[in-house]
Amino acid sequence: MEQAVTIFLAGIFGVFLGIALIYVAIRITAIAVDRFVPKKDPA
Amino acid sequence: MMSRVFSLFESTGFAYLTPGMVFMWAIGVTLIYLAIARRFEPLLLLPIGFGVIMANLPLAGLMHPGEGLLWRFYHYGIQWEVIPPLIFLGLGALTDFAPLLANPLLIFLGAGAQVGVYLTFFAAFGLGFSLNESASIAIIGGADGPTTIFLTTKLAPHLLGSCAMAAYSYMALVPIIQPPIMRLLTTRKERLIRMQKSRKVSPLEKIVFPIVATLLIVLLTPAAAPLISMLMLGNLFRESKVVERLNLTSQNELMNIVTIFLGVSIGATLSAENFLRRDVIFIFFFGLFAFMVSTATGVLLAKLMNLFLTTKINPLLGAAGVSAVPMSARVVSNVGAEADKKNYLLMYAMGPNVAGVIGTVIAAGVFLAFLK
Repeated sequence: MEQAVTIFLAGIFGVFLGIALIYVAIRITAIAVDRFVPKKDPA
Repeated sequence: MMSRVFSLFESTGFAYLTPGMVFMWAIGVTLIYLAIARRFEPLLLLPIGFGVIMANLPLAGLMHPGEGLLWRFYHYGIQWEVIPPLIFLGLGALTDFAPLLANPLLIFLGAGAQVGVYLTFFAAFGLGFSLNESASIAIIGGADGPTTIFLTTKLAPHLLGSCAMAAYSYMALVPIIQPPIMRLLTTRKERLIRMQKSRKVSPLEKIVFPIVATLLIVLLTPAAAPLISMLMLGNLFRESKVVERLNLTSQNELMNIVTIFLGVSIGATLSAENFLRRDVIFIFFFGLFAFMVSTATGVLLAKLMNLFLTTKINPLLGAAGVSAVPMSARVVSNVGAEADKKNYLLMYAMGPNVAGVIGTVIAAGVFLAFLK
């Protein structure tokens, strides 16, 4: 039972941590691209 | 004369036919019927159904270890972990992550739906299944066939056929299972919420995403590497725009070929002695439970997020956090359209939908880290 509880808690924590890391990576990439990649002139 | 007739009869399969085999034929025919007449996941249920019939033919020995044709498909394709990652390669090539990159906050809904997986794990364990069996049953709630097969092969191979069949059956039933839960957990006012217009995602972001996501997920859950790395490689083929032949092969020919082997191999694991057990009823019950709870936890997480967000999100999107791509996104769109015909949620729902794929793979990786 103790191992089941551990897996349950670690699982939920692990999934949210993984997703949060990807969220941060997406945000950083978006900011970096916006700031450092030159935009094409629409003209 | 009679003894010769009798020995001739004994050399045929008829002499070795059991009621269990005939029952499994009926199961196989039912799956084929659902695939052809009802169009329920036909690409998989049809080969699975035929595989069930093939595996339950007396004296044919198609699943005989080391010799049988179907055993070879199963052994080298599934036990060697070749087919599920190849399916993920094709899935990656088919997936557009732009809706997710445009609204990154929606990625959390893909995690919310995985709470249902872990609640089901706990429930199944409480009812007497082993830890490995509980994990294999619970992952059905992630609504991701290849991940279910990948995890079950490693943790509880004796449940493979039942878990895979439950996963694909429920994925086909998403339009029936999800809407009542979504309506029950949301008010009409919430269903009317319109999403803010998405920003345009640059091609560079789409190229960077599969590389960064692979690095982060594999560092966090190394056991998920075969699935996530192939998913992201397929996506890189797609977004790089320089390997169109590989991209098209991954999402068409290769995907189709491995789908044939996957379906037949899964069907072949459903022999009468494996399937006709009391446990199987519980597997189907818990699979449905997992699916329903995952839908509910996705919607509830969206509502929870709304408590803290200034720009509210439509909580129906939470239901797309189960990774039945793109079926559950379509269901979200349809239920949203019932409240407001001009509220187009499909593109927004694709975000949590593909996030659900990632979430389910991470959930499987965590199970493997503890139980393998």
